[in-house]
Amino acid sequence: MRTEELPVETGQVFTPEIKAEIGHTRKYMLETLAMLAAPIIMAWYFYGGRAPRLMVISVLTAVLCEFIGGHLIKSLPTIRDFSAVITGLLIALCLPASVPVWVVVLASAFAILAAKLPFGNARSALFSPAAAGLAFVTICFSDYVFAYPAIPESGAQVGVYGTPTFTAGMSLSQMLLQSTSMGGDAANYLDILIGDIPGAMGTGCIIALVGALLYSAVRRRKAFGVTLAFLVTCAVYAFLFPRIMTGRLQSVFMELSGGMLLFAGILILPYEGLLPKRFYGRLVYGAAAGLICMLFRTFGTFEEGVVFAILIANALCGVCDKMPVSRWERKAHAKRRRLAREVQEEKEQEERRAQWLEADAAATEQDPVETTEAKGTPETDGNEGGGAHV
Amino acid sequence: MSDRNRKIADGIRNSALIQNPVLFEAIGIAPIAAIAVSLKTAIILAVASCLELVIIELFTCLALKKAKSYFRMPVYAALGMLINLPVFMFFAKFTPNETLNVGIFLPLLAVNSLIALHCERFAVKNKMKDTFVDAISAAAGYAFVLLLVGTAREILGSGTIYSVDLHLPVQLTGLLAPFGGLLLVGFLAAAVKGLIAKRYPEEDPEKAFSLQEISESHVGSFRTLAQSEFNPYDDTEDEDAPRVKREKKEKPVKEKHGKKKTKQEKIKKEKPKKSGKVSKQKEKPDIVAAEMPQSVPAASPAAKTEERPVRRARHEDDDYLLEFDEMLSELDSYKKKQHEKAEEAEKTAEAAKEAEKAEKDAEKSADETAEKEAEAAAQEASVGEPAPAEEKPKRKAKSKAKTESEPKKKTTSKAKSEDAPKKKAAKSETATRKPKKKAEDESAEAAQPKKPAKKKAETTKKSTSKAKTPAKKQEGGDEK
Repeated sequence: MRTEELPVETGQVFTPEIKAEIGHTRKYMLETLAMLAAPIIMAWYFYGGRAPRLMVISVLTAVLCEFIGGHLIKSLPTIRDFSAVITGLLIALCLPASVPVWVVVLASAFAILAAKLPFGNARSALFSPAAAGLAFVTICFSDYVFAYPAIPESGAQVGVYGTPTFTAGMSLSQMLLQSTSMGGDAANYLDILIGDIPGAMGTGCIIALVGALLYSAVRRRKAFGVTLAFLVTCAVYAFLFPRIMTGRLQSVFMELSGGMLLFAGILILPYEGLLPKRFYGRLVYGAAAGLICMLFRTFGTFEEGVVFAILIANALCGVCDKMPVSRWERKAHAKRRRLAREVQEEKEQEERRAQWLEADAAATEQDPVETTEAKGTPETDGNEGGGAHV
Repeated sequence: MSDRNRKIADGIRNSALIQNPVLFEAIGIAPIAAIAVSLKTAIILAVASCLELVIIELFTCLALKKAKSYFRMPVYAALGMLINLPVFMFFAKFTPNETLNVGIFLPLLAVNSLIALHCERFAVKNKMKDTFVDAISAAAGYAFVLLLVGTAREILGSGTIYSVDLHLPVQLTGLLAPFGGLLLVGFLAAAVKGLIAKRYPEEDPEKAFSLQEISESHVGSFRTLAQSEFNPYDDTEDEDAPRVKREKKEKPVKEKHGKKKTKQEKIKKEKPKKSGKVSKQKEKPDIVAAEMPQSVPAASPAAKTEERPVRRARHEDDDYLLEFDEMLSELDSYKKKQHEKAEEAEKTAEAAKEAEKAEKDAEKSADETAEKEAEAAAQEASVGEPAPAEEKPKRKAKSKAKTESEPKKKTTSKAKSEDAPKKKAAKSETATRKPKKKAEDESAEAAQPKKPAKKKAETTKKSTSKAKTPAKKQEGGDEK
């Protein structure tokens, strides 16, 4: 929203409606921050001090770009909703810990300047900025983005990619690419669940992400619907077309826990301003994203294509908005409308009663004076008649 | 000469900047997004598109103004190919690598939509010099964007410029992909729009996207081609060819409303033709079969003349618009009549009221004058000249202010008590004379039902004349 278009009667730039909107977005973002707390802590646990440093740099870049860019295009400053902070965090958590700083800066800058500012604020965004930034960096510097380091020993530093201190690790997605299974031992399963396997910073620990999933199931029904559709589609595809030889269930587990899939499905895909409004639309949205993600994984040039799937699904959001309304949604709408109508009718009745009482009181005030003067003047008759009829 | 220079400058500014083909008309984005990846390829594309645009636009201005649009389009394509082949061969000979890089987009420029847009919009309707200016500036605008995007993508994407390595630390290879090109074009459009808003705040670059001017010059559809012979330079249907001229002449007179008025004129002209068409259609079944072949050729050119203006509407369903306009015009005339009737009624009512007032005033004045003239006559004889002398300018003067001030002057000049009744008489006389005169005027203007009022006014006239005449006689007597 441009500052010139705002109503400037009182000279206030932030009208109550805008403040309410920004407050709403801020609440949403703070909840997302709560959901992200566990992955952040696990990233710090596994990769030492470099992980929070990268996160802070990415957040600062995002906020700075939004500030400067917003001033350049003279739009309403919406830094106070924490959308830039969350975008920066999401970008940093999806990149490996060994990535150079300028890659992170580029990703954040592109996400804000090219994918968020031209379209408005967080609620009016067309594409998920985090996904756009990650996609750009994936295309430009794919080797940096997919070079996962081995998990360092306690106290050791993570080597930056390109420097000799870098030790490459084999991530799950690479294993899947090469069709090597993880082995059927329980220890391997536990490693993957905890996140003790090379991968992107925040996407390793599955338990933390499952916790975030439960949070969204309780607090955000719509986002949970999208995520569930996404995960179910991916699981079905992995079940039907496994890339490893040791069984379909293992394939499902590996596919779902490898790469950024779970993280993106829970935190990047259901972005508030981008969800379709109807239930069937949300199902289609999630399912399309899941299908395209698995297709990118199977046939794409990069080992992880979930960000491109998210962008495509964002483009399909308009189509998903036009899906038919489900029966229970219609009933819920009708019930809500009925309740609202009843409340309004009660209000109107009360108002009418209040008016009637006032008119009555006025008539009774006039009456004693006029009966002394003359009988049955037309005014009083009219009042009484009107009151009686009403 | 300064006007001409200004016109040229305006033309250049319009076609190159405010209606930039790529940035605001969204024309020819494909070669830019896909292939303008380095400076060399951008130069190739720019040269090809510039040559084509200029030559084809000049050719249309010279030769294709009177042709139908269904004929002009294939001519554009043929001419484009004619120009593109030598350019392609030239570049293939001298820069084979870059021509390979450009791939299919150089032959694709033969059917560049830029040519069709600018020819249909500008060349078909304007003179040679203006089209030349437009062609040069549009080509310059397109080439400028091509070169800018090409250099930017080359520097940022490959770290080279004209294949000279720059040793940059970072290379964003993503910009070499089409999405990078589209991104750059978008940001460039935003930047240029900001510049235009600062420099020329009245101009609106977003208007460039409308295709109204082109639809106006879309003369001759394939339907008419199917029904008639192929004669693109057919002069019998002169309503279409002069349409181009009509708009040219109307442009300097009415700039903004010219289009609407031409359309309205066309619609009004179509109305009687449509009725004629309908009548002819009704007459057809009555005609004997032997007479059919005679009537058909008679009807066909008329049908053609009727059809084409009707077909001028974008869709067939727009014929209902004509009926709608008829209904609206009928409604308007009906409303006007009602309004006029109401006004007349009001006027008559007002006049009647005023006539009544005039009657009352006249009666009052007649009574008062009858009463006071006797007094005045009695007193004037005693007072003498100054009173009638001062009454003269009163009578002659018609403004209220003068007459009101003069009795006051009278009072100030004469400090006699005798003046008080005279003043009253004079004031009443002047006051009554005013409404009398007003009543006379209004009764003269009023309609006939005021005959009794008129008669009364006449009686008042007579009374006033009677009142005046003795006073005048007295004056005359006094003067003498």
